Amino acid sequence: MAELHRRRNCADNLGGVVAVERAHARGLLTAPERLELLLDPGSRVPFGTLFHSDNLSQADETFGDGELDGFGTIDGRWVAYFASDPRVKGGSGGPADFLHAETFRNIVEKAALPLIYLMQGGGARIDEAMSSQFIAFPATGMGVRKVFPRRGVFLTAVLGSYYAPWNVAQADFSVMTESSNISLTAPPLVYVGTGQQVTAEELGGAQVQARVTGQIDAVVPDEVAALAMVRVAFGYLPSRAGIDPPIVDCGDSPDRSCPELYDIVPTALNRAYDVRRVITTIVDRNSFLEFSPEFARNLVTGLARMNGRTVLLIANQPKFLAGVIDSGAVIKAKKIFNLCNELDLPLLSLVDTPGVLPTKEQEHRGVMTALYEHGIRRFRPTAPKVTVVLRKGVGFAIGAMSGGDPEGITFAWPNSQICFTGVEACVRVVHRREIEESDDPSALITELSERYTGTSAPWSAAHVGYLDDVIDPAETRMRVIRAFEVTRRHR
Amino acid sequence: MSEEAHVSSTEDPGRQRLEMEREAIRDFEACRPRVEGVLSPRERIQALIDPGSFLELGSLTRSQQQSDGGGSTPADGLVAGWATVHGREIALLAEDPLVLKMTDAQVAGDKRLRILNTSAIRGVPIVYMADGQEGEWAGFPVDRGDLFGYHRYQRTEPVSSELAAPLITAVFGRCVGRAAELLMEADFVVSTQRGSLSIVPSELASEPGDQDGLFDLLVEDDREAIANVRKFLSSTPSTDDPRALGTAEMPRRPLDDSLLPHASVDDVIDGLFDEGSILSFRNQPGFVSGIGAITGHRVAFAVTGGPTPHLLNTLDVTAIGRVAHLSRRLRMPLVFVQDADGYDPAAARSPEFLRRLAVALDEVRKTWAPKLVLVTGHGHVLGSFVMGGRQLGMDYVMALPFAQIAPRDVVAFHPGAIPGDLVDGPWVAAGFGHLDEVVAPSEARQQMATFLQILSLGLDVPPPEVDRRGRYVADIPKV
Amino acid sequence: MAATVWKVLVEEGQSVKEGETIAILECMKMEIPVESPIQGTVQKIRVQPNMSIDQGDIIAVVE
Repeated sequence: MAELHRRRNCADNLGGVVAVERAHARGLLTAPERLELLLDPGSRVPFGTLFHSDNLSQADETFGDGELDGFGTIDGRWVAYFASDPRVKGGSGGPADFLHAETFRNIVEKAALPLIYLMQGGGARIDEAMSSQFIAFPATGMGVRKVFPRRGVFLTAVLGSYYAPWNVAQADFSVMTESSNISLTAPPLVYVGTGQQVTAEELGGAQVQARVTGQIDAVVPDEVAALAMVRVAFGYLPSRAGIDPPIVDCGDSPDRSCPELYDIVPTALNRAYDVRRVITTIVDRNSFLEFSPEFARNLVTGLARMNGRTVLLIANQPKFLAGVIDSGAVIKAKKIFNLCNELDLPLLSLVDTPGVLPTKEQEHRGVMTALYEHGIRRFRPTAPKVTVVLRKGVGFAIGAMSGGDPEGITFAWPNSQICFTGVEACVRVVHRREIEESDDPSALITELSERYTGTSAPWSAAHVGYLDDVIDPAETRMRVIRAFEVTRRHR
Repeated sequence: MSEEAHVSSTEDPGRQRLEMEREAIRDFEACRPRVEGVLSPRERIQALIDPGSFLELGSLTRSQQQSDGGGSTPADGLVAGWATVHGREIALLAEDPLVLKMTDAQVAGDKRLRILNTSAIRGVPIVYMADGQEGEWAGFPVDRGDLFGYHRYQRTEPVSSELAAPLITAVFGRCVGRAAELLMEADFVVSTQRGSLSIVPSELASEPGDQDGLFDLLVEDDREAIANVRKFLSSTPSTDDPRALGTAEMPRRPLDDSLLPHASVDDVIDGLFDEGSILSFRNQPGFVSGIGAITGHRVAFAVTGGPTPHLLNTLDVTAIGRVAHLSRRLRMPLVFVQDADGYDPAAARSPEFLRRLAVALDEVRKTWAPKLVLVTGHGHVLGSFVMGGRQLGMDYVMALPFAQIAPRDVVAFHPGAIPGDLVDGPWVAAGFGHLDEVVAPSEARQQMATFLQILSLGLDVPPPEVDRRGRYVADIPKV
Repeated sequence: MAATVWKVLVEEGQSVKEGETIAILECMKMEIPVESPIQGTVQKIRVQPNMSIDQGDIIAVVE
């Protein structure tokens, strides 16, 4: 019994006060402190508290071997957690933790639990991994197999340097602090291997992920904010595929009319506006959680609630690149479609796009293939999909935004314009010769433009049922909520 | 006309006839020869079920082909129908040996088939009350069982997403011939002292059958058997109630930190399980198996204990196979408590032992339900020891601070096989992840309850199916 | 992608409300209003009409 108490004491106080102070001095929290913030008070159930490194002589200093895992609740829902513990060897992983990790993962899978990763640390212990046994890693270390409908949701918070960040790529939602960074490997290895001199921040710091790669969903100032954000994001998600997320009453009536939309969205088609204002008006108050706001800003994506139920959102942003669909937008939308497909979450799509960006740069990036694959991804989920065409819905971009999906419901606003290509493009290209040969080219242009604007109005589609309805903008919230209700699958 | 006939029925020939038929059944019951402690089939049914809940199927059935000199054959020797036990719906079949002597039982066979098939479709537990005796029919020394139902019935395994409904067999008399059938699918077999099962009539058998290890539970008399069936039904999951979570009762004598190594099985059970929740199948000094509850969670268990570490014999191993079978079919968590030195060398030499061990190992390994182990003394948790080695897929393994863990590479499971210096306390095993936790005796029950709760969260979801290449069949790849 | 400054709607020294349009840019044939994030006074205007600007360039300073 005495030995039990002694060991537990060592495990609780790893590194002593020194370790705690050292972490705080760097602006970081210790693993237990992080877990305190992440989980509901008193709910933590640690797993394998007496597990240590395979170096017996260092047992007392290495309890947890650089990782703390276990279980707890978030807002009353059971989760499993995995937290890097830099008090032991800087948080790197050793081969001895394989058995422990496997047992932990078995319980997570068996109980179909959500898994929250709190990562900070140096990846593999290089000296220990310099063995041909590393060949076993891909199958076991990358967590490739996720079993539907058993799989719990994964959320990852990056709280420091995190190398080989598979848990970010895997995650349904990921957040990093401003001072953290993720990349395949650390700068010294990059230099020795390639000669490239680069800082960790340049390689994969928060700004790089937020603006350039789009690999992270949110960047927050510090750890407290990161852990709070994990709790918030988890609140939108179901615990696992196959069940509904919690319904949260935001105190916002489903029948609320939105006349503000008349002013927010200008009728002049060439006048930009911020589509986020449309979003926050339509969805439940204060429920919009935007993903990667600084990446591919021409597409706004995220989570929100409508009448208490979680929905996924994609919306063209006219303020940026006129709201075109380009390869960046396709990358950003991929995340949303994956969540839609795997977790069966409803999708709301707000369309105002002049089309796909057809430039040389985009073609050289393979925008055509990207768009095709995007279409397949969009079609695969069977969750309810509702689309509202606010203004322009042009060409292949409208399909990319789920418009006209026969399995979804598509509404359009009265002044919307839906057609194959831009009116001006059509007039100037298709009728080029007529215009050149005309006596009064500007009158002809005006006449042709009016004709095509007329045929692009939503009425002809509505008359034959290709559009499910034309709605008054002020009714948008009501109609969308109702559309989700009638298309929701009952389990 | 009996004086019990009502006035109106004299005017109504239909109702007159109905009354006559029913009276014939009552007369038959009234004239039944009685034996002390032995109930009639209908009495057994009434003793088992919630009062008034019996819905009989085919109450007016009778034999179509009776032997000479035969009298009435009510229900053609098989009373069948549905009822509830503790509010839980079950299907019932009760054999009447008195009638079976006199009929070829074809009608009974059809009735049996109908009940079994519809109950399987509906996921309803089946209680089969077997009661037969050897006899002759039309001069042939043949057993009724062979003529039952022409063997059209085939009970299918439910797909993994569906919960199996248990088949319970209670043996009240001497059953010959269809013994294998009755045992084959049964999840729980209880017999009275009068009951026995054998394939061939006793004149042909060289010695009376050894019933040891054949039944899960052997009791004195009819009432005790029925009480145990009732308890089994209320202690196990059903399709309406897949967790069968009961109210959490305190153990009779909770474990505290003064517990010594090699505590007796009684001390462990009294300290770990909810009071009054135990239905033990095998109860021997040093070994108890059965079903019980821990903070309301229903589990199937096997416990070994002191005063010296137990050695498992053939019957122990058979019993472990049976509780693992229950765990697998009914998706009940499996709990092992180890204080064992391995297998009894005397028993382990026989081929019979090996075969039973193989069956038990297979059942333990295959069960998808949560599997937990607690080592209270000597433990073999690192390999494929049948009471919960890691290789058999144990989900959560705990040990008390004074546990002695045998290292996993030791193949021999008998005392003296392991050099003393390789057996150690639990610290190294816990350090390397072979054990998941070391707990004080006072913490053991709560820790077990917490992990039962966590692991049971996944019981609502069908177990993953893995194809030949080890890929999860239902995997949806990321688009 | 670059945008062009189409119109500047305020002068240095002018006080503006939160959300008031300071300038309008043009990009890909869209008029994009740039709004003041706060209420205050325009200290400095860094752009002129027809100037080409990139993401991150400062348009005006309001305090």
